[in-house]
Amino acid sequence: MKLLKTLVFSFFLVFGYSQQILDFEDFTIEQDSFLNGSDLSGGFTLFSVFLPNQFTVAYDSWSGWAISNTTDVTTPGFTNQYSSIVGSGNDGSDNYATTFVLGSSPILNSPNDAGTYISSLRISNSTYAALSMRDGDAFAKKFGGETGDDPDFFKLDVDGYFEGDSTGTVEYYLADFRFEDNTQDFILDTWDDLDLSSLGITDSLSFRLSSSDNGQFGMNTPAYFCIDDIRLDFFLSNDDIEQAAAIDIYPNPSTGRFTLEHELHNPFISIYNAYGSLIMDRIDGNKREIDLSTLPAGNYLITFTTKDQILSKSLIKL
Amino acid sequence: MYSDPKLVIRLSKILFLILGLSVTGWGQEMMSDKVDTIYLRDKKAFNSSKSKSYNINQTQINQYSDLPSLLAGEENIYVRSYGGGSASTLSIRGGSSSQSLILWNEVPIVNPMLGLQDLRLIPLNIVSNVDISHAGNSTNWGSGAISGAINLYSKPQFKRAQNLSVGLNSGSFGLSQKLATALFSAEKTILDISWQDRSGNHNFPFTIGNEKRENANASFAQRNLIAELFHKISEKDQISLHYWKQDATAQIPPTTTQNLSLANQEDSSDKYLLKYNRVSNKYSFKSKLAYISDNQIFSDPLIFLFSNNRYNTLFAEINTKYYMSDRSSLELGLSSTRNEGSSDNYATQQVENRWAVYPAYSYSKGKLHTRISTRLEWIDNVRVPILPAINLSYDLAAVYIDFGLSRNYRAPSLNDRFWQPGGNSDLLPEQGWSQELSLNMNRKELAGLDIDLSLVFYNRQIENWILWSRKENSFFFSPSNLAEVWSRGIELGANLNYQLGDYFFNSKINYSYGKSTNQVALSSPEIEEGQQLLYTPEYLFSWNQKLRFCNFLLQLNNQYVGPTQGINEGLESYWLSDLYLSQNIEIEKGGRELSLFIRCNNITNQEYRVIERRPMPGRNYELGFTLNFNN
Repeated sequence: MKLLKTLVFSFFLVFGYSQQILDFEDFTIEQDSFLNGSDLSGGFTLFSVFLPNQFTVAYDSWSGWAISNTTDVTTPGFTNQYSSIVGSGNDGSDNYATTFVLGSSPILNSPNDAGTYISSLRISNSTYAALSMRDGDAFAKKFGGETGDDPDFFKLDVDGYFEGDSTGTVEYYLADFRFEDNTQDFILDTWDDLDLSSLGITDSLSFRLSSSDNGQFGMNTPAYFCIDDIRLDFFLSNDDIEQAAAIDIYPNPSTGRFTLEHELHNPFISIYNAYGSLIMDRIDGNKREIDLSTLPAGNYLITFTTKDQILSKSLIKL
Repeated sequence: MYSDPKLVIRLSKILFLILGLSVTGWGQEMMSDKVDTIYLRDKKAFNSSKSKSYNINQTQINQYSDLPSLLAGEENIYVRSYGGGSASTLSIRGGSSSQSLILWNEVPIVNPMLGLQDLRLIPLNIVSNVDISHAGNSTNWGSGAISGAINLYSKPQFKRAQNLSVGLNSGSFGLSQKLATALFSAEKTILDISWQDRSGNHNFPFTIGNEKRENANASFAQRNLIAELFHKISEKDQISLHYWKQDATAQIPPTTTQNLSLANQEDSSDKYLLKYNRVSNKYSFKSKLAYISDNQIFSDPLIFLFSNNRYNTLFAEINTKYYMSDRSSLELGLSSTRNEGSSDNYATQQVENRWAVYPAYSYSKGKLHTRISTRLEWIDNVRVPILPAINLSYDLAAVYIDFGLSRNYRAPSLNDRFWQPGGNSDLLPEQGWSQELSLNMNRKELAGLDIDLSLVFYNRQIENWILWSRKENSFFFSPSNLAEVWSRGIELGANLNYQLGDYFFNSKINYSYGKSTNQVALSSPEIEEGQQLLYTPEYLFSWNQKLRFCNFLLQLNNQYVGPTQGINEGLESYWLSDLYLSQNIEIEKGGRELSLFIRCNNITNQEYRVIERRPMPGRNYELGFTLNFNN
């Protein structure tokens, strides 16, 4: 099941648009560990999405995004800065992304198609921030304060941009203690859906954190949160739908050999792996056999680019 | 991010020559309770200046137990205390914690890595005298003496005597203290050994709203051993050896907005000092050589944080004074300091070398006394600003007027320079000018009253004030010469003694008003132009009353601290009252003596905080006895 839900692409044609879910399972991480950019790659690519990372060798420090599979939900403090408070990725998966927000953490989307955008993602608190808000630490207060009645909050603002222009902002509370009834106060300790569809088509998102716990040196609440299962939407016209329906790939899933049939006029066909790296292109002909048997099992994306549009489908290699 | 740089601030974070201070002294004996204004001409610490000097005897030890309590109780100095066995630092005249210099036998004992000294680690029973100056002393002591200097030392009295004393105290919240001193004194040699073991749980209750809570993870233990050997080689020559061994552990309690803390800190240090003094009618020569080895381990197993910080300091100084005539004298001092610091957060062991030369000229004619001095200092071969000072004092019959002008500085600490991440090797020293005008009046035998009045105006401007902050788009904190701070204020003091038969009454009032404001607006930390510094009260007031009858002493100390601003929130003003009773019983004339005491702190059970989110204990008690065997 994991394979089916995992990382890369699931392809739907519903109500005129298609979706792909990008998870982080294809990143190879040692057990209970993380990738924090120490390879100086500058970030993590997942199909068309790029999560930037800044790593400073001199201080062995990072900011931006990290990929993690750490499961520690009990250790407070920054020594446990990579963990999600859930103890796993979304739906029990292994890998997820953690961000340390310095001002803002961006996610860039460089789609083959300008109509591709991030419509939602799964979000959770980091263990560091969640335990700090629950129990307090030497610098940050426990939410609710001394009496439990302080109207504290830990809020995420997601700004959408397309070609430099703002497309709007989505607010999301990672913790909210502003309720009159304290029993309604909460600190997010599960994976929740963060709907970004109201931002429309975007090519970059900017994540900002704010808290009610601030001092002269800025925000006291640890500026961390985690994400998983980024959902990409492809806006397609009715013609696109019909065209996509005219693409047939079988067997899918396959152990490596796929047969491709389509009725498109002279498309430029490309295949990408889950990290967005080009695996194969210039696939000519309306009926071809594609051999991915030498490649690792996982999810791949095949795109068909014509002069009018870009269509895509997923390939699942067992 | 790799580490939490705020920790640095916490640790991190936190010392000027005044040329005119009032010297008052009082002791345990009835007549010595009277206050006299005296000069401390032969003491380098604050020579040419008047300073307050306290003889530390059993009464002070029982009354205050540690240096921060003495300073707050007698000097109306603001002590930034985290409570109990937790850290305590000073703020004198609106200075930062790292701008007041602490000296032991005229040797700076400030931690060069932090740039400050945690005063909780200094008990009172290890020395016989404390001299306190409220103003800058950089000309004499160099870095760190921007806003005050405190010298702890033992003054030998060569006379045939042997004394052995043991003491036992017990108090609220598991407080326990064991003291022992042994003194073997002959005409030419003195051996003085003191030992102290103090511990407590400090698990005091406090209230949040209607909820009762208890201060947790707050135990502390301190052990001090000090051995001093003085030998008079001749009437002019004296040599002494001093050793101070210290071990301390302290748990760090959670804040009021923190559910749990397992953090703790261990401190251990060894201090060695060799002194040689030669004093004649025409000149004096003083030399000292000191070595300090210190280790501090901070651990917080809850967050898997362990930090091991070590430093060694080698200090050497010679100071000569030549009396050109009855009116004038010339001084020359040379000092050298080598600091070696290592930490898990340093790339390698860091070494800092300081050299200083400081000449001075004093002249007196009639009622006029003047002193001109300067200091040239180099840190790692880079010269710091020249530090001149001038003091003028005039002794009118009724009023003693003193004016001082000086330049003072503080060098960046090793952590400021080398901590990773964030250390800034390009930091400039904090430096600036201060001025002080003091008027002191002493009226004796005025209708049976002895009255001392003092009025002090001070003004100080410090540039290149070092602050740690996180710059935009930086993931760690880093120190910069961000601030310019203007401190100015007024201090009023009144000391009244009245004796009626066997009854002696003393009343002491101190009031100070001071503004210490940052003169430039900052974004990080967020400070407005003209804003009062954090944890720096504008108003301080103390009123101490003492009644002595025969061997019975009753004292009531009251202190008011005005509101302050913390990092996250404001702190309310508070008024504290402490009551002390003691009785000395002579068991054998000239021989055994028993001293009993009881002290009640915070008798009104005031709920107050010095540091935000850190509760302080309500009403608490300490009682004990000391048995003295004299021969």
